[in-house]
Amino acid sequence: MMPPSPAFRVARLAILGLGAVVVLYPYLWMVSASLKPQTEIFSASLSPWPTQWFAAENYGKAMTRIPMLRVLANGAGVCAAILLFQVVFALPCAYALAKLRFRGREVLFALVLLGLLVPIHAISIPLYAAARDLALLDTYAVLVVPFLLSTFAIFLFRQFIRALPDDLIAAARMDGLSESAIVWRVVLPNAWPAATAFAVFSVVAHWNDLYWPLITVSQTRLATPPLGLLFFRAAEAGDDYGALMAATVIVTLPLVALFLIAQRRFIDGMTMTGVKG
Amino acid sequence: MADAVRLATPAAAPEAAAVPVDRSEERAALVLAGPALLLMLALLVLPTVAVLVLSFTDAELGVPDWHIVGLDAYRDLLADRGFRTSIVNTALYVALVTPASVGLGLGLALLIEADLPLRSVFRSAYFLPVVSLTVAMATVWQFLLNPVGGPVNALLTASGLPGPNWLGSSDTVLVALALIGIWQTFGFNVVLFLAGLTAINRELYAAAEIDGGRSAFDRFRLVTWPMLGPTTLFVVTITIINAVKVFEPVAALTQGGPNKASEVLLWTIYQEGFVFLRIGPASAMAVAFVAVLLVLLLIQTRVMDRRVHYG
Amino acid sequence: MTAAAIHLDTVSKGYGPTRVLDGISLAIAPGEFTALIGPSGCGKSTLLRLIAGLDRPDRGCIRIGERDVTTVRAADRDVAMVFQSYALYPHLTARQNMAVPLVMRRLDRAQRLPLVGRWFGAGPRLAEVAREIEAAAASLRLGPVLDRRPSQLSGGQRQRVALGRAMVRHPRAFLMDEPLSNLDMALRHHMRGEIVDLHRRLGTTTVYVTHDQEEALSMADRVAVLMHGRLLQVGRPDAVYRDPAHLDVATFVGAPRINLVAGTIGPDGIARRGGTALLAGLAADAPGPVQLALRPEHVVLAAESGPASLPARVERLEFQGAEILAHLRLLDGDERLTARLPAGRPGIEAGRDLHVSGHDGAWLAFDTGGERLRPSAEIVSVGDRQALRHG
Repeated sequence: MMPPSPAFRVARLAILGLGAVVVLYPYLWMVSASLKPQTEIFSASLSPWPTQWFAAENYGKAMTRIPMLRVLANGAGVCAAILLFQVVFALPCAYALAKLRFRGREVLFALVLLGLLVPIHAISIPLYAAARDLALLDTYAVLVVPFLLSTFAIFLFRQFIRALPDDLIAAARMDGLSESAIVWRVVLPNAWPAATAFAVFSVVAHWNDLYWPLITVSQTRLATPPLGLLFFRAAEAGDDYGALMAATVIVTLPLVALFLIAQRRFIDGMTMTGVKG
Repeated sequence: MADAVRLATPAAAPEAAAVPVDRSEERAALVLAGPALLLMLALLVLPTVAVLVLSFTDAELGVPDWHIVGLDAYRDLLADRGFRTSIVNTALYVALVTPASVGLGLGLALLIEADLPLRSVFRSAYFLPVVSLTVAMATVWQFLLNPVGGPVNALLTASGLPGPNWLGSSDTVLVALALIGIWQTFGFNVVLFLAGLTAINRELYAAAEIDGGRSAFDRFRLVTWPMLGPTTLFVVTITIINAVKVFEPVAALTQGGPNKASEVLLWTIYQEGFVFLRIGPASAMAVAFVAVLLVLLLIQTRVMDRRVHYG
Repeated sequence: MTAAAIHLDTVSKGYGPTRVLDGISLAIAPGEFTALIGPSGCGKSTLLRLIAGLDRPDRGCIRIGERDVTTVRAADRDVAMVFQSYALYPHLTARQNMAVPLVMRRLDRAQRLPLVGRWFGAGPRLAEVAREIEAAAASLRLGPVLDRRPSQLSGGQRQRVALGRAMVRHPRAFLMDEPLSNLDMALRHHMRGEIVDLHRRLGTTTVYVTHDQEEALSMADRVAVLMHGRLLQVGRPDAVYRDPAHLDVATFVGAPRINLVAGTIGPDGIARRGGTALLAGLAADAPGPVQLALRPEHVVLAAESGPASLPARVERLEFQGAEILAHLRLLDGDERLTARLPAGRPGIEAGRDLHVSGHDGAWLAFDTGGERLRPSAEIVSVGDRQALRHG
């Protein structure tokens, strides 16, 4: 292809640059406001640089008004537990669906497709009722259990495993591996791109989820980051903007930092789960 | 182990041919898929059935006395003004977010594509909102859109335009929420379109050029747009589905207000089921919600898929 | 449009620090079928893209007919191209694919608009386009499949649609980039014939890129051998085969590969292997090591030692139907040789020691840089004992 004209190149960079400014401006504003005292945030000057540094006060409040570190740890722990169980349950099932012949396989796969269709929001009422009857409300367990099984993970892994050569599985059987050893020692290493892609998808989804925690958790000490932020807003009545922005920086940072460290993996992962999902 | 080896040995083929399904293979499948199957029954099938059953009742949480009202539950739902508002608002929100988010995704992906040196920088910048905590960024937007002293209205005032009371007025609240939704979702669409663009055979562009496609628009019409068909269909579907599921910004910023102007489907279900504890009607709404998703997916797979796949 | 000549004048092209093409000059006569051959990565596809206008050369100029097209874009060069992947538009039927170049050229932008184009007078032109496609399709025997999409066509049919798309607009030149490499063996041989017939019928200047030397030799009027970004030889297929200008040409062209034997050239202008003189009458100004080459079909095997023969052992025989390939190893070295012999010749068995010599004048010599060393006089008969002894 002939190279585009210089004028086009400049125009293209200008548009993309403007877009990037619009996208990134909220982050700039968030960080800047978290460093300023209340009076300065909505002052007429829109300078991002604070004239009076108020970072210590804002971040101090954000860390202490609610147990912020605990909230972050809750988020990390819940996400990690969910991801671990999802892979442990989904991968063998996906392998069976992809490579084994058994009666009821079509029915099982139909259930997987049903799961893709029905989001947690739609079945939250009976799940909530069950959790209440089992006295699981306001526990860590209730944050994890409904997500133990991801039909999306099964679907994604199945698609990926189907593409693995049958000869690879046959060779593993000839080498004397049991079926579950095949899953963990042959399939998992070869399905690693799908596994990391799913990990990104799962962590982003559950770190962000507000609906289920909002329903089932009322104590700050169990809150995940989105819920923690709502509690913080309630505790501050929403007027201490500097501290609130400090809190948003804190809860946003972990995932954004992970993303900035592993941009390729994140984007490839989300693309893969997006394209196949 | 002998069983496993037998599976892979062609010598066992006659037996396998006589019996369509191998017993040992079936046992292995049961062991491997069993736990997932049990969880699926407990966490998916049972609750789905329960929601369907509940949707035909007038049950309220904590009230022992409930009745089966049958299809009346759905008739009441359709007559319910609050629910109708919620459906209309959700549809409006989807109608605002989808074209803008898909259009921006495609446009920016086309600009980023090719040999742009800063390609990955732009891609990451646009993607950042996708991995940012929705509740947190919604909070930031609330301040950006603040009618007094917020930078958006400061900019509008500076350019001589009236600054609306974005989230505070029932006329603009959906627009404000849609702006936030667009901001958060279009980066994902950029990335999906970029993946679709890289999959296009470069020789097709060369062919279009040789066939007389002089302008970029000619080549877009002849190659890019038809080749992106499956990607576009997918992006539109997933954008719509995600927009139908909008919840976090409403819960964090507007709580359905002002004056029910930002009542959306999931917020209404949440209120009905978990605030007013009227789980019968809430279940009927949930069924309606899944029906909407189902219709969208059917449109994608049955109707549109045939038009954009050339296989 | 009549067939046009194509001239390349010291054309160079690089990507970053790598020089892909280095000062290529080539003149292609109107109506000529020229094959560009070379191993993968030699720059032949790049050269074709430069002729097409898909890339621009860093230096040098390109003329098509009388016109300097170096800076003219592909759409305006009036050349057609057949791609390795065919590059058919998957969403269009065979008919629509073939219509694209005509529609793009003959209808203006308003007329090309779907549905409303007819208001701007697209109708009569479209009817004309349709007639020309029917004619082209008939000559390519595509009639029954014209309304299928590429995915519903066989490999050979796709190939013909790609050819049809190229020929409908009667371009000044056809450019073909490995057009047959995606077909199976039988179809490839068949399509060779079709393309040659097409060229004979239309008389359009054709530049044909392939890595398959046999394909090039069998189809082209002239062959241009490109290696490491340079043109090593341009000539008629038989000349390139029989009289290679460079060792790389000799080894690239011909299958099985030409046999190579290391030797030395003395101040007397005689090339020897050990003590055996194989080729005489070479320019003697640079005595030293030399590569001697002999085509497999020029190998003579004898039970008795001769004056210009080398002892070798038969290691393996390869039956090929009418012929047999004998794989030999020189007894005084490590070189392996291949001899192509009529099948059923007695006395050739694996394990036997025989004596290898070449047909008269069949040995070729190359210096250490790969350049051909030519006999200074007329071809000297290697068999002429007297000449060798006293020369």
